[in-house]
Amino acid sequence: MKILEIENLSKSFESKFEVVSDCTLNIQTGNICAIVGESGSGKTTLFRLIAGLERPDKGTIRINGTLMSSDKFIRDVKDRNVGLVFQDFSLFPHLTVKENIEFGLKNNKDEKVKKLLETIKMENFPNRYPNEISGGQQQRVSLARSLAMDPELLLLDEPFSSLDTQLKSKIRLELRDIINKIGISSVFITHDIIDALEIADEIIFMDNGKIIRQCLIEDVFKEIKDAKIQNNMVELKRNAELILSALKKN
Amino acid sequence: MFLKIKHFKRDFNKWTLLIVALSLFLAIPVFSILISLFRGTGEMWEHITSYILFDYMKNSAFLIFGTGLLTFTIGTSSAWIVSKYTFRYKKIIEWLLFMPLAIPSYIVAYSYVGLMGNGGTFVEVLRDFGLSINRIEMMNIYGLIWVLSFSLYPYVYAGTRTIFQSYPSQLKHTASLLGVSEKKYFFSVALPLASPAIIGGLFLVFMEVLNDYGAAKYYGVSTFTTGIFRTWTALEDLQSSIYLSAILVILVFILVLIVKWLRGRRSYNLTQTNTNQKNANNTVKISGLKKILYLGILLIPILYGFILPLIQLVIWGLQTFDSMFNYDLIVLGLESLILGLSTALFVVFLACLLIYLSKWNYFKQFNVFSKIATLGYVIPGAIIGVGIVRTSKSLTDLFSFQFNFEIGHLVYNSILVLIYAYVFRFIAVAYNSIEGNTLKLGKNLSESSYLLGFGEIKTFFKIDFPLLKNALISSFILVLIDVMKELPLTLILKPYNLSTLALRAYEYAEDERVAEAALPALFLIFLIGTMITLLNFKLRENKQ
Amino acid sequence: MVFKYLKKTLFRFILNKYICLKNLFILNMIRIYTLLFALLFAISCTNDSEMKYPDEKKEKESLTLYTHRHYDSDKLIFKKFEQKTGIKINVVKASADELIQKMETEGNQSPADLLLTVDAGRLVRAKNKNLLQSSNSDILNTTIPTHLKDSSNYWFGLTKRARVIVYNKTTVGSSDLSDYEDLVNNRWKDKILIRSSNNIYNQSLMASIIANKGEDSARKWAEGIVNNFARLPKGNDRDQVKAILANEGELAIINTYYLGKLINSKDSNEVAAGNAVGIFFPNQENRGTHINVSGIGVAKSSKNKDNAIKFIEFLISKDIQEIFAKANYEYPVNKDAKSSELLKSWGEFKEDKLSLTKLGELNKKAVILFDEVKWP
Repeated sequence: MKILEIENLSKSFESKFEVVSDCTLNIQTGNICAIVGESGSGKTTLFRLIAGLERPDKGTIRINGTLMSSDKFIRDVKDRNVGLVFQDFSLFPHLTVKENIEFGLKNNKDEKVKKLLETIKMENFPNRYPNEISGGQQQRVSLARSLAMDPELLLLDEPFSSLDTQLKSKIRLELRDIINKIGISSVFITHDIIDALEIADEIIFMDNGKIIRQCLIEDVFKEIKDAKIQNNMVELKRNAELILSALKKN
Repeated sequence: MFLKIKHFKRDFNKWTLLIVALSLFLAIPVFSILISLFRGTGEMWEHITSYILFDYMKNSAFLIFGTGLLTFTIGTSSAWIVSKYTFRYKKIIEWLLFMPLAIPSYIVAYSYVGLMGNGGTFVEVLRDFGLSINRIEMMNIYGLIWVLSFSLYPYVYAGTRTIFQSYPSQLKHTASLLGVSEKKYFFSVALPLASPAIIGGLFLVFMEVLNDYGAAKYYGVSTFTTGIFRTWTALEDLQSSIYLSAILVILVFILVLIVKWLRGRRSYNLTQTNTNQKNANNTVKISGLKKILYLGILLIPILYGFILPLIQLVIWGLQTFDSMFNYDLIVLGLESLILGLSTALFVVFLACLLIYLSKWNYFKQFNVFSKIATLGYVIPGAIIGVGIVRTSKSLTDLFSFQFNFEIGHLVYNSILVLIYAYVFRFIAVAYNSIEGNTLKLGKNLSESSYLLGFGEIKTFFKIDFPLLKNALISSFILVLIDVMKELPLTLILKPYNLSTLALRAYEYAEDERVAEAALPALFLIFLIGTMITLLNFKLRENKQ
Repeated sequence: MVFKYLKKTLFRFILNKYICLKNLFILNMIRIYTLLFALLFAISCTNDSEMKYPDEKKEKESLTLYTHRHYDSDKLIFKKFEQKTGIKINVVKASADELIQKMETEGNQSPADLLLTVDAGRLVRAKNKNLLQSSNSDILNTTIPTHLKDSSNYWFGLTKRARVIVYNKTTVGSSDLSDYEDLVNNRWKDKILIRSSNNIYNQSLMASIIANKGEDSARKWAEGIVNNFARLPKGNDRDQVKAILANEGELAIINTYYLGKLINSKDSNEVAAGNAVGIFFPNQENRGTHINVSGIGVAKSSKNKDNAIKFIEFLISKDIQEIFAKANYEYPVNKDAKSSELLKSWGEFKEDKLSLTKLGELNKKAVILFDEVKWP
């Protein structure tokens, strides 16, 4: 089963060049997929297209087999059942943690919120306002808010960019645990390949709006001919940038 | 563009339809004026260009330059002192600095002549101190610059103060660490960073100056606006006067372009810095000589913009109190207040609608229409009036020819047409301030709400509205003040059983009975003053 | 008639249906616009029904007066008329130009019954724009002197005002003054105070000079006045008199009633200014002093012509003329009416009998000449 199928997707804004150009990709249900690319490579636009916040110029998007958008049809954002955690978390500043999480819920509010608060380990501060909790906590609340809707697909925009390196690996694992526990297919954007290598099952490399490579995590280094690189995985991780440029050359 | 058209069917939604319909509806006067431009210039055009146009331009340019310089100086200096220092009675002074907005500038112009003219109040006081002067000449272009500057500087002061207050203390600390003196910090850091607000305020000042008719006419200064009226009324050439206004509008656009170009690509955004930090302890207590100096600087605009004109008005008001104070005046005040309140409500509602519809519509090229709908602020009130009257004429003609149905009594003398005109004239005031605030809000919040399954309207009420409430209230009050002071549109379009305080004051002043004008003016000032107090209160609350 | 209308509507209906079926876009558009119009219509009907259908109620007859005058005494007069006849006067106040523009665009459906202005020129303009109608009334014809009304009875003067010279009593004697034309004399260099050429009274004065002396001498006259300006024109008529008190100049050209108002002002400075000057009626040896009127005409759109004429007749009746004259220091057009004591003290004067219609016709020319000689 494929959770996300994208065919020949293109998008350009006022300027002529295409921000997302002829992208085709498939993501297996239940996988965590990372989209890796430099800033300006079109990752965020791809995300917004999947979520329905932008309208594609051409191409089709299917989520869980259902058509989301094509040349003739577009499904409204609110009917897509996709969760998106913004880079700045976008918590509603006038609502408390609890109110933020239950915002989209129509029934079963209390029970669900309680469960989610437990999942994100925030059960002690349901009545705090977003500006009264830390950045990491804000991120978890934002995640919980999206998960409350039971989305089929979870999108995370640069979830680790605002964290310092020490915190990063802790949060990465935490995030992975939460996602695995709920068992939701998810896609996240990152400019740092280490994030991807650490928690993703699949990696998609983007550059200049094009998808240059999509592969499972185990196959990332398969096609690289350089023996030196193949022999030393540890060093490889340290030289993530090098890998990226090497991949680009291929 | 073509790609978008390809998806017309897919991306077309009710919002697109609504934004086009609403903008076209609001922009009717613009189109009406544009259409009349095609009829060619009037017969007096040659006479105008060869004898008077140059003088109009020269005077208006000098006026803009003079008031620009003076309002800039007054506005920024007072904003700086108020936002950086603490002293006794600061709250009262902050409030008083707003008050000149309460007095219509033509009333200030009249009262200055009463103060400074022969045997004027101020002059008599100076004579009591032993100065041997008969009068201080106000009735020339310099006097006009003085009067307009002191009654319009709050536009610069208001925005600049807000920006100055939002500066994080690190900014100042960084500057001191770099060994920058306070003077240099002000001129090379604080002032440039505030330039968007300053330019925005100056733009409002220029619009008011270009729209001023009463003060310039009384002081005998021929400006573009008095010229438009002269061409229309004395030369009986409406067509040429519409052309003159078109030139005015073009000049304003050039001004706007220059402003945009000046701003360039530089970022003046402070939002990147951590705004969570409390800025409350940012102000410094002052004392000694510096205190006297700074308080003096603050008192100058209050004195010349508010207190002196007010004193003169009170004197006149007392002189005419017996004959002027009656039940009618109270009714009149209530009428203007109700008219203002309902108009402001409409304006804020429609401005919000325009902003949000253009956000929700996927054909961004249609949003140009919404910009056209906000052009009213740059077109002289009288010309808008003409545009609207002309449109109503075509509308009634259409109805009587097509459906044999006379709607003349609905369109003429209808309060709805007047409110429509106000909406067109003032929607830009609300539009700009609300749009600025929505931009600050960003789109992620509303998009999060869409993703959580809410439609556009629900999102607006659940997310944007509570977060924008303060901005909405502020712009509501600003529009209210503008409507209550408005003259030319009210004159042309008001129904016969309605009058406003501003109109009553103008009638008396026009009739050379300035003293009688004082009481309606004072009542108007009282009402607007109350509004400003509310606004000031609101702004302070906002800050906390 | 009904059939034709039905056919038209039916056709429209079918056409609409056709378009709707064909295109969803237009359907939506029509729906929304209808809704919008219905809404607007509903609001205007419910909110303002009583003011919009004044004549449908028939409880109270009314007249709609477009007026440039805004004196409190006028209000009193309107009330008296209502008491006497039961006809209510609805007042729309604005400047004459705006009122004319308004009537012009409103056309046949204008609510205006009467147009009242403060100078004859504007009435002539309204007549030329076909906004007034002729009204025949013996009372009006016999009471109002012919030069103070339209030759075909399109408008009638109500009160007179003269544009006179006032002078500083201490430095100028009345023997130094003679005609308007004499003011260009070098004797008055830097001595003359007069307001801007934007002002209609100056335009009318100029028009009368054009009519009497021809265009070229009028231009020379204006040039001479500009040369003799004590200061650039500014302020209103009252300010010119105050400037004499302050020794900024020695002569001012103003309307008579402003002097009356100055002398009776509550402001002591204004009283002092009014008392410091003497009044002089120029051109007594020849054509007479330039006068103008506040006048009224029946609007073409009027549906209550008889009542409108009744109102004008009321305005020129002796009692009302006296109220007019007293309250505003104007000269009544009705010979039987007495002018106020102050006006009597200024004495009788010879007035320029030039038909006021001429003033309207030459108004534009006057403004053009003003521009040419740079009279601001």
